[in-house]
Amino acid sequence: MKKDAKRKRDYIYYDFTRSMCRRCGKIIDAQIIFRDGKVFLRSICPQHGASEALIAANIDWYLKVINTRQATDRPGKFSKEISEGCPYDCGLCTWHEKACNLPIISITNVCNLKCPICFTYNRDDPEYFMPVEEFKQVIDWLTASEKSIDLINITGGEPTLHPELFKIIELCRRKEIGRVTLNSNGLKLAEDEDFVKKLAGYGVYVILSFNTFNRDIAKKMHGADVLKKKLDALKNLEKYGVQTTLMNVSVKDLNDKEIGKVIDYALKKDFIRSVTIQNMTYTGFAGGRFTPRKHLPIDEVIDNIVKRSATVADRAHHTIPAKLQNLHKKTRFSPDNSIEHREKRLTHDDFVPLPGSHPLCYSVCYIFRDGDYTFPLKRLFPGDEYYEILGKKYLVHPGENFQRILSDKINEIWARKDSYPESERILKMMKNMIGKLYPTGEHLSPFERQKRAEKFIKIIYIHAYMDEDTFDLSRVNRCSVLVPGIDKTYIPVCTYNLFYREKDKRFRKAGERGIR
Amino acid sequence: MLLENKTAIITGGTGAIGAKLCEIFSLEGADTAFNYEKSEKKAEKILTVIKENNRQGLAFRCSVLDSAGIEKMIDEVIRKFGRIDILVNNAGITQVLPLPLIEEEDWDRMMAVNVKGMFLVTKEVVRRMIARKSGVILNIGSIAGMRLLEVPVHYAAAKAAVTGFTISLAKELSRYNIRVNAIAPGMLDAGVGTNVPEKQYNEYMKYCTAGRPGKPEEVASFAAFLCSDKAAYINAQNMVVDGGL
Ligand code: SF4
Ligand SMILES: [Zn+2]
Repeated sequence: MKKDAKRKRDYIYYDFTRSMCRRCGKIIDAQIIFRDGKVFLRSICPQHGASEALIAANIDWYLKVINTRQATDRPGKFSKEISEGCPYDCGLCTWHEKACNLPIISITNVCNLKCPICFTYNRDDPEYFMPVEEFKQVIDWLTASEKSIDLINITGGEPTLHPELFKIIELCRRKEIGRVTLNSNGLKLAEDEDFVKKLAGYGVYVILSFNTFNRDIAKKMHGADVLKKKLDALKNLEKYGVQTTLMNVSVKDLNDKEIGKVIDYALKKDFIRSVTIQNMTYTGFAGGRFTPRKHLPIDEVIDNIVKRSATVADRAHHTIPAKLQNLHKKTRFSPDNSIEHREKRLTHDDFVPLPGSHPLCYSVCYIFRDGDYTFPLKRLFPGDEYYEILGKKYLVHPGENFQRILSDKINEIWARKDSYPESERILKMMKNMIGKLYPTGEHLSPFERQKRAEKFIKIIYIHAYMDEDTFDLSRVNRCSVLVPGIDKTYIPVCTYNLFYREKDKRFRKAGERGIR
Repeated sequence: MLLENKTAIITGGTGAIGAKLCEIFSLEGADTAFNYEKSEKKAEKILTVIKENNRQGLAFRCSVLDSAGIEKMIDEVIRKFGRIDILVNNAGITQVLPLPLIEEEDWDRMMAVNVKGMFLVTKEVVRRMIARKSGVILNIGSIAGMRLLEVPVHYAAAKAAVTGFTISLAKELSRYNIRVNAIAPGMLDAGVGTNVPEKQYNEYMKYCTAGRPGKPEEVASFAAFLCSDKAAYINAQNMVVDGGL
């Protein structure tokens, strides 16, 4: 402690928060500091001293996002009074700021891979498969506390190995629930085409873990050569039109530079709805031991995407007419470096914090898409309307607000066509979309309309989970990614992973200390 | 029964209001013919309903814009039913679009089906009614053509045309003892009303005294009354069925 106090102050102090000690697991004080253009979380354990973790690669980005508009969204029900303080009162306690937007339910601890990057605590003796009745209790609790819920995420272990998976999925067919998303490593999806067909029949959305196109890197990340399986899984998912999200765990200096390729692939495929990039989190049985431990903050992921994703634009605009090509040759812009071309790429400004969560937890980029034509949504709505469109949930709701903003925009583009590049094409896309969202004589529920709207949108989510080094109570407090329990509780998923899963006999043996 | 021994022809018989018109008209005693464009299955179902009501039914697959097809249909109805007492111009379409996105072809299609179609069918039927010096015509318009509501302009314009068509036709045909009226339904929970965007739906509900969308049968039973002899003193009117707006 003394040593730390004496240390030369080579940083700028910015803020104060509470974090945790990787060694003793206690909640401890922490500072947010700036050094060398970067932002760090510096936590101080009275017993184990200070430690630092990178939380933003660029101060400017951090300062820009940290105070962005946040949507308040009080939980439907609280289960606990405040007594011990955050995170020990998790339940939710009356202090929690956000309702559950993304409930995560682990239905098994069994998995057919042993990925070195896995960040959950997951015993597999004895094997645990959540009984259907227990799942029902969880769902009952969910629908009782949150009247309507966009989606339910089923995960594991590897949930496709649950022998009663389809009974569980069946239970989610309620009018209060929009959809089921199912995490998978893809092995079962590659091997069992009928299974994929059945998932398609149930309208399940699959979240396929997909980190790399490189076999060696795949081996390092998954402990096995799984690339072929992953590609087979994609083939099956595409064949049956299963709406798919690619879940990409991004590890610094391993696969992080490949993200552009993954996104470009996703943008080309109709069945892929979104890409979720999750930074590597050094926690859990495997992840806690993974080295080297290099934290990858959201802005660095954005940087990787911006530098490496090819294009997001209509191909037609890429072929520069012959006349113009000559012009380009004469100027200092080569065709490839022309302003037009550059604008087609995603930029930092195309990403914003998800209004429903802490800016260091989530960043999102929406890309309008109509056939071959793509357009980052933020460029159309540079102001606050964008946050209104995104709303406070995980998914966009094409309701009244959305409609008002959209029609204002249509009028504006139409009235000022010259100031909107590609105005004709954008208006055409909007017309196509309205036709699909409001078909005459056909009744659509709000959830169905939401799904139709999504056909015109590709989403890139960047989700920075927290581990012991980056744990920050101010983030937990506004978390809407919650683990619902059978005991009528909710626990923010990072807190659950770091504090509660280890007490959960289903996932961890008593006395087992993990990496701490 | 309101329409005992009458014969009726209803356009757009497989739509939400159309199907209810066929059902209620036959229930009230009319032999009922209708045309439709797309769903043969629905048409068969409606025919069964008419037959269950112990009336004769006829279904024709033809567009209201196909004048040759219409002529054939009317001839056939006359051959089977002997005459046409009632014509209900019900076929219509809508399209949710703000002004900037309405293109010329959208406008033309809206006007064609909703206005020109009504004109073509009416002209063909009126010929036979004049010859017999009797008949009733009922046109289905919409509140969209009358009130200050956020509705697509091409739809509103087409539905407003129904009103003009109705009153001038009533004047012109009065000397042949042919009555012409229109009904302007408000928002219904079926047909063109099903996918009204949230904003418009909520606004309608805010001002609607009934506090709910209407049902197609609430339009159809009023239509049966208007087409019956009980309504002999009602002519050249545009009757609003909108839940009180
Ligand atoms: S607290 Fe964890 S799970 Fe919750 S939003 Fe933040 S990073 Fe995500
Ligand atoms: Zn400690």
